Amino acid sequence: MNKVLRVAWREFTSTVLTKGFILAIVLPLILLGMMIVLMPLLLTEKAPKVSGSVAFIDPSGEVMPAIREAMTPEAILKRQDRREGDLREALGRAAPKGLATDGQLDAAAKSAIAQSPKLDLTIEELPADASIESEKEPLKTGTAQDGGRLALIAISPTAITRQSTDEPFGSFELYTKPKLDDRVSDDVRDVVRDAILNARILAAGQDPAIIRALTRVDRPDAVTVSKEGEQKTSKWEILLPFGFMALIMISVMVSGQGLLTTTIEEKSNRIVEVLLSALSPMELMTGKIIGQMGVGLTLMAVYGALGGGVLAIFAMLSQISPLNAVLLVVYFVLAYVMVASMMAAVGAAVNDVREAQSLMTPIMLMVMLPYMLWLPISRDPNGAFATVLGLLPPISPFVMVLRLNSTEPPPMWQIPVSIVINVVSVYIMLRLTAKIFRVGLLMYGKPPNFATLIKWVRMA
Amino acid sequence: MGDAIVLSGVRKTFGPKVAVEGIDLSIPEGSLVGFIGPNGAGKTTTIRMIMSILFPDAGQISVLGKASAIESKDRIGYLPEERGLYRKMRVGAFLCHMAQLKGAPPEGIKQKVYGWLERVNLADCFKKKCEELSKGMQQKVQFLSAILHEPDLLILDEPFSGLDPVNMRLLKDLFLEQHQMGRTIIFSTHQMHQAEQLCDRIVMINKGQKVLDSTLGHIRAQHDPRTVLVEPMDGLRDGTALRNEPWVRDVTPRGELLEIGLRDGIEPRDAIRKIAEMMPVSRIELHRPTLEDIFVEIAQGEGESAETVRESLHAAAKSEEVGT
Repeated sequence: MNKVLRVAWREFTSTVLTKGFILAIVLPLILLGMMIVLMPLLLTEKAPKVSGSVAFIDPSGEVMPAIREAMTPEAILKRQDRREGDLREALGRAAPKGLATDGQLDAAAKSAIAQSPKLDLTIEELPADASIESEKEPLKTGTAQDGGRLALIAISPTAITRQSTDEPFGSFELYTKPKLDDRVSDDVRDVVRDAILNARILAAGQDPAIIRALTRVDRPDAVTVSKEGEQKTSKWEILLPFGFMALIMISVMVSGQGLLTTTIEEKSNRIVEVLLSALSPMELMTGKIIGQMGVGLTLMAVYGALGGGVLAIFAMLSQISPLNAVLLVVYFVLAYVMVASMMAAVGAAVNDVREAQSLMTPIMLMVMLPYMLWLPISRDPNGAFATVLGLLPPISPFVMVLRLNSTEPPPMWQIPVSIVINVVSVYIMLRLTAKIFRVGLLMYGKPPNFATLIKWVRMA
Repeated sequence: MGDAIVLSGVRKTFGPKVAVEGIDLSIPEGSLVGFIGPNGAGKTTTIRMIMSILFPDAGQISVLGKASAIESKDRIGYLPEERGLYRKMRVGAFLCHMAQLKGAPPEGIKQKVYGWLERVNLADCFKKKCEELSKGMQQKVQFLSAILHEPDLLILDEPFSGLDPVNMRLLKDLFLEQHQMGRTIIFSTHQMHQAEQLCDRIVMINKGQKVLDSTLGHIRAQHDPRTVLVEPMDGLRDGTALRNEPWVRDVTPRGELLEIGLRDGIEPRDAIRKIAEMMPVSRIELHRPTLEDIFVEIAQGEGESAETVRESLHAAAKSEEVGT
C-alpha cells in the first residue's frame, strides 16, 4: 500500500506542479479579478459626442410640434435618464434577489448609460414639398463624424390622417449618413414614432396621456409554485445544474488526460520496466489512478470554491444542498475511475500521444455526450429519457449530477441505484483495462487497434 | 550457500514465436554470472521472467528462496535493457523516489542519494532535471537506482552499453564492489569480452535455449586450444605444405597470419614444434579460444555456419553502439 501511495503522490505532484496546471488554476482567478477591476474602468470611458442636424419633411405639419419638443437638449437628457431607470429596473429583474446592492445596480445602469453618445442635435425643418432625392444629397458627403446633416426623415402624408378607415396609416422613412451610431438613429426613430402617435391621438380627439396609460401592460415573470414555497423562475436555475456538470466534466477530462500523458511518458521513456521491478502492474495502475484523482479533486475544489464564491456574492449559495455537494464528489469519483481506467489502458497500449488519438475518440465522445444532451435532460429532468440515461453507465454520473441540481430532482431511490450500477460497471471496466494495461506496458512497435486490445484482454 | 535463482523447464512463447525453450538454471548465491548470446537469443525474456515482469508458460522459477520475484522484489536491484528516467523530475528526487519504491527507509535517504551521486561524479546534478543529463550521466543515475536500496540480488540487462571508457571503468568498479560485498549479480551482454573480463560463470543462450552454463575456467578447459597461429617469415607462404600433413585439420589465412586447426590426437606443443621445423616463422602461438570462438563453435555444432554466427554477433554489437 505504501508503494501505491508513493506512486500516487508522484503522479499528483508531477501533474499539479506543472506550469500548465498552475496556469489552469490561476488563470480563472486572474480573469475574474480583471473583470472586477477593469470593467468599471472600461465603462467610465468617455462616450462619443455626436453633433449635427436632422432634417424633417412633414407634409401634414402636424408631427413637427411634438418633434420640436422632443429634440430639445433637456428632453434628450430626460430620455436618457428614463432609459437609465428602465435599465436599472431591468437589471433588478434579471438578477436574482440579492444579486447586488441598489447602489451597485444604480452604478451599473449609470455606467451603461454613460456609454451612450452625447447628443448635440439641431432640427432642420424642410418645406413640405421638398424632394426626398435632392435632400438626400447632403447625406452622401463624409460620415457621421464630420457633422452636418446626419439624417433625413420623410414622414408620409397619410401618417396622421388617412383617406379612409379601410386604409392603413402611413409611416415615415429614415435616411442616415454612413457610420451613424445606431443609438442615435434609434433615438430619432423613437422620437418620430412617439410624435406621430401623439399627433394621431390628438387628431382623434383623445388625450395622449390617457391612451398611453390605457395601452400599457407590464410583462410579468413566471413564478414557480411548489410545496417548498414560491420562487421566481430565472435563467440561473437552468445554468446551475450545467455548472455542476461542467465542473465534474472538466475535472474528469483534466485528470484523465493527465493519466494518459504520464502513462505514455512512462512507457515511451522506458521507465515502466524499472517501475514494474518494484511493484506490480495493478499497484502501479492503482497508484496512478489515485494520484490523478487527487488532481481532479483539487481542480474541483478550486473551481467549486470559485463558483461558490460567485454564488455567495449573488446570495444563491443556499440553493446548493450539502447532499448534492457530497454526491458531486461521489459521482466524480465514479465517472473519473471509469474514464481513468480507460485512459490508463490506452496510455499503456500506445507508443506515443499521436497514436492515442484514434483510441481516445470514443472516450472523448462518451464524456462529451451529456454536454450535448444537457438541454433535453434539463428541460425534463424526470422524463423517461433522462431517467434511463441517469442509470446508464458510463454517462450516468454526469446525467445524475445534472438531474440532482435541476429544479425537479429525481426520486431518492435512483441515487443509490445509480451508484450501485456505476460501482459494478467501474469494477468490470477496471478488470478489463487492467489486463490491457499489464500487457500493453511492455509491448512496443505497431500501434494497436481495438481488435488487438480485445486480444490482449483474452491473453492476459 | 544456497541458490539465489533456480529455473526449471522454463518456457515462454509470444504467439507462434518461442522465445525461451525449456531453460534449466541454478545460480548460487554470491556468484557473478554473465548471460551471453546474440540479440534475440532470449536473454531479456529470461531476465524478465526471473523478475516476474513476464510469466512463463511452463516451468518453475524460484528467486531468493521465494516462489516468485514478486515476493522478494525489494531485495532485487534491476536495471532493464529498456530503461529511462522521468525527464522532468530532478535527479535527487528521482533516486529518492525509486529507492523508496524499492522499500528503502525514508530516513536519511537524501544523504544516501547525495553520497552515491558524489561517488559517480554527479554531486552537482542532485537538483538538475533528468532531461538535462547526458546519456552517460543518465546511465549512471539508472545504475544507482538499481543499487540504492542495497539489494541482495542484482540483475543488470546490458549495463555497459553505450558508455565511454572512463564511465565504463567507473561502473565496472562499482559493479565489482557490489560483487565483493557478497551480492549475487547477473548481467547480460552480447559483448563477449566483457563477460570474459568480469564473470566467474557464464550462461550462454542461443535461440531460446541454454547452450552453455559453466565457470570460465571450466569452459576454457573444455574447449582446450586446438588452433595454432603462425606468422610465416617470408610472408608469402600459402600453407600448402601444411595442408598435406595428417595432423592438420585445416589452414585458414587471416591477413598476415595462418590459422592452423589441429586434428585430435596430436598435442599442441608437438604441433608447434613440427610447424617451426617445416617453415621459418617470425611468430607462433597457441590460440586461446575467446568466448566468441566457443559460442561460434557451439552454434556450428547446431548446424550454423561460423560466418553467420560471427556476423550476427558483430551486427548486434554494432547496432548497440549506434543505437545508444
